Amino acid sequence: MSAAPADASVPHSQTREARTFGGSGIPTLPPMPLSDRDLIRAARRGDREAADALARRYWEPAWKASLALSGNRHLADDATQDAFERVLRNLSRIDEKRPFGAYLHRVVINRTLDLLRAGARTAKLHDSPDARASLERSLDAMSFEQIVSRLPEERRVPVVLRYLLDYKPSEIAELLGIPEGTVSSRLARGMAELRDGLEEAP
Amino acid sequence: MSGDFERELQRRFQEMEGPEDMDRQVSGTITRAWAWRRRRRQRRVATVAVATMLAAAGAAYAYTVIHNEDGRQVPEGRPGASERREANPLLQDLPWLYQPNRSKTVDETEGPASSVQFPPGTGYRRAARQLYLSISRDGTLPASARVRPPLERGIVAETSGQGVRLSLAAPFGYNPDNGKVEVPTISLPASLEPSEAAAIIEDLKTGDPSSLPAGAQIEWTMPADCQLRVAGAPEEPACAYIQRNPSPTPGTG
Repeated sequence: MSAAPADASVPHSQTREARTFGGSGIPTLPPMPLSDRDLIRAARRGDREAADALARRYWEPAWKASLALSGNRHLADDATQDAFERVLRNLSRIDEKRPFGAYLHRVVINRTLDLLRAGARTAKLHDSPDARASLERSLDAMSFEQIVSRLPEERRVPVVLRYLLDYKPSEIAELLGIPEGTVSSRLARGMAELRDGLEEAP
Repeated sequence: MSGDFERELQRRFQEMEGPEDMDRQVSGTITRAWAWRRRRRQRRVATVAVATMLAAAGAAYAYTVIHNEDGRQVPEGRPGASERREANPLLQDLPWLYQPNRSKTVDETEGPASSVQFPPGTGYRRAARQLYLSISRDGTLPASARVRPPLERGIVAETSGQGVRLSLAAPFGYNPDNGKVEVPTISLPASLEPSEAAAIIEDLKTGDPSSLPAGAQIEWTMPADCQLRVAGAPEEPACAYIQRNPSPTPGTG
């Protein structure tokens, strides 16, 4: 099959010639992105570019989740890098039948909370009169992620999973190993506290 | 109203600034992970070479055992230990094995919680050492041990006429006040180069005990009485951590 004559007014990329392969008339499609499973398998075989593609696919949302949990950019940097490094080291342990994103997010969340508990570079505000006064004065400078990071951990994690990472309550329940009713309850309380916190901030 | 706030929240999360130097972070992370994988492959090759030499020499076992009279020192591992360990759900995420920077509490251990029954005649210390050595060097539970249901919460070892039964979550005990799982102390041979020792320590911290060399020693402090059950002896009160932290119940929060 011969290609149609080129028309100068039509962009080449849209011509039949551009859309066929070697003039055979078989239409080509833009390359489909590789699935997580394909990238994992390639990375297991040592394909560094596959590991890079897999990491970039998930890095920014994972980093934002860590920031929302911690309120601290440096901690989010450390936690995200640690978590991804751990995941890449243990690729052989990943269950391909389960969503990679859920596994990765759990590692990032756990690492973030580990660093927070270790007191790494995050000032913890305790519920004392002086701390509350300091907190009220500092609301002007507080960013959204810092407001989120003030939530108690048991509410902060479901809120981040639901509204940043877009998990359904049933998926959050499975991820955290708690009943779905508990997830809904914690989400509702977390939302109420956030609403108060955001209304107080300018 | 609630829907409006939910959308507002999602919008705020979307608008959060991302990391400043993502390219550098991704690249650095992959470089480190790939360097670790390379080191682990090199060690496996060295271990296989030793095993092959021993097999060719007619040795009965693929171990290189040095100073094994008291069982405290670590023999060279068998090839494939990491893979066997990683394939067994019971042996993943054991905090006392992976020497984390911050140990988890007895309630935070991931994976199935079980216990391991040793035959009569095996004392607690010997059983705990066998458990550590078998999992780290061979990637399996000791041949003489049998998997059993979890022990009572807060108990890490129980002795009876059937032998000693160890918690898989905390066989070396836990801090009785804060519940953090105890890890054994590893002493590395003085003959190692500092860079070798540093690499082994780094591997231990990040989840790979299979690089422990022959000659490494493991020691630990006996768990507190509140963590032990001895047949025929009166029960001790639960540890402070257990008393202050009753088992979590559904629907709380």
